[in-house]
Amino acid sequence: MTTQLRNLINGEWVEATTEKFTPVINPGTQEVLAECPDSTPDDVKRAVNAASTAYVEWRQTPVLSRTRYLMTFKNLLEEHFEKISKLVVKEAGKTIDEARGEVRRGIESVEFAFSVPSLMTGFKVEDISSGIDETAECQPLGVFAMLAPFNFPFLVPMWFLPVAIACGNTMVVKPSPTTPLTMDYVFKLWEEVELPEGVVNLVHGGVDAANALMEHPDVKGVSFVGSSTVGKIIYEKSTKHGKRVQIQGGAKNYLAVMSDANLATAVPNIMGSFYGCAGQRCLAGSVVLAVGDIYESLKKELLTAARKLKVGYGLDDASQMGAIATQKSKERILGMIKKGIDEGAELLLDGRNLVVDGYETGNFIGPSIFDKVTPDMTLAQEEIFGPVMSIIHVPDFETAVTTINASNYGNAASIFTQKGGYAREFKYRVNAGNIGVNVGVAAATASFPFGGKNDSFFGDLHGQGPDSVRFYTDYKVVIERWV
Amino acid sequence: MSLTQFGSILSFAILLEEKLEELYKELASKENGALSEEFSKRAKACVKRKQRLERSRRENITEITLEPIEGLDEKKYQLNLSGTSPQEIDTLEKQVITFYFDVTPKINVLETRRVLKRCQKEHSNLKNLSEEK
Repeated sequence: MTTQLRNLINGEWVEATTEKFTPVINPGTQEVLAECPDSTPDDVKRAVNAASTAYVEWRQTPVLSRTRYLMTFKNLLEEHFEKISKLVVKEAGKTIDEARGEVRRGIESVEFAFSVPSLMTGFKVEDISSGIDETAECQPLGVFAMLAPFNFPFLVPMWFLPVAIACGNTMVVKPSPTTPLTMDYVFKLWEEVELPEGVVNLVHGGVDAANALMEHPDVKGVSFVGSSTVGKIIYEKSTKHGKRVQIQGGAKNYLAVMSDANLATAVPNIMGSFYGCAGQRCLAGSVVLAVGDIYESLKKELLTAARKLKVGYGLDDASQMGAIATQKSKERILGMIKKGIDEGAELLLDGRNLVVDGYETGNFIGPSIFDKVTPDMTLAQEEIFGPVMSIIHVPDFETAVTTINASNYGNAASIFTQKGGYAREFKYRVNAGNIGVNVGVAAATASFPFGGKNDSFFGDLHGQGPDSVRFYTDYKVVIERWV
Repeated sequence: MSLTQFGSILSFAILLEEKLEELYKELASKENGALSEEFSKRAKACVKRKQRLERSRRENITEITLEPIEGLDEKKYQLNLSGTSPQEIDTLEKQVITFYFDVTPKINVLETRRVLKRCQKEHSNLKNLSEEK
């Protein structure tokens, strides 16, 4: 019988009060791994109540003690590193190296939270007025909610949860119902940490659970990562209910390759950018802007490199690209490829009919490359979230910058060049939250804020880095006179 | 297993060390005196290297620069463990040294390159058994 997942509320594993379950499917094999409950608003209410109750004492727990719990947690994550990585492969379809990379980055976010004691110190000015001292004290806020996406089931919750609780808040995490197993496993590790009950809570589910979290008066803020369409709805709904919100949305990332670029190093990096995680990440490259006379040689090298990529099941060490997370996503990507053809782009490399030996039922699409794409095509405008590269030939740097800045998104953009002048202008003028210079995956590391512009981000304070401490705390100003 | 990724190269190195560890353990139990001690020492060193490699695979993987790797043929590094004469063991060690020598420059993470170089150095520093006898 398939395992039905349970929620962790107030330190107890409890069944959700629902009859509705979503099968959790291994995208490489179609094996049903578990069933994820569609938790109800009542389940959410119980979790938030537990988190609210726990907050009172957790806030009083010294910050150094709070971070020590995280150190124990980090050690457990190291110990269970391979198991977590393999779970990520099984439910999300990525390769084992990609999964290890994800888990490593998640652990780095836990390590970043160790610095919370020095990042939430507040500040003070004596004699701001005669005999009056003024202090800004950094205080936690209460219960936070984290709504996670399917593509990084370990990393994304780790961007938020460690800092939130290190700052003295409590949290309810709702993983994606497509990939809930990793967090389920991680919350079993939280049990071993022996945090006070209710500090961290896990509620599985979909829209109903998310809505209940956004509407609950005790939830002070919501962190979300996912598509821009859903993100915008969550932003509007959460702000309407008085929450602070950070929404990291979708992307359409452009990589400009200048004619002076070193292709020997650029091409493998571009491969990693477009086809890493089978293109299912908000920092994946989507459009190559071949600038000037590099167009023909670049196209040739990209094709050669993409043809060599070995697509396969993620637990096979030799696989360089894994599966698409769901059948529905696969159909959507195939639809985008068809649309590209219909709109007149030239499909140079067609990954649609790829079959992986031994995994014939898996959701695989091979690397695909479109040439002769123009900025007005759907391929150049909409997020594909799959292993599809579009090449646009632009005459010069100016056109490259204009093309990038015309996008509705602004998550990341990269330039490949050996000239500092181009790099400087690119950093300065391109309207994207994360800029890569000779780096195709401009993924901010744990101590830096994960940027985003336009429809790629809604809110004020970004995830990760010092921004995250500010998001999970508030200043209280104290003005004192004792003389 | 193809040597086309950061993790697959490290996993292959771990496997090599595991195979050598088993071999040296077996030889240590068969031999006596100084030679037995030498094989025991070698087996222990394999375990240490294996742990070092596992740690690097876990800690040094860098998502931002996870790029396909080309130009390594694993067939070249398959160990033939059927022979256990001093000459054959020296040949095995030379093959392992070649493996580390070839893969190190293919890895784009400094810390891991350092680990691989150290492994190569340790294998290179082993006594030549055929010359000893």
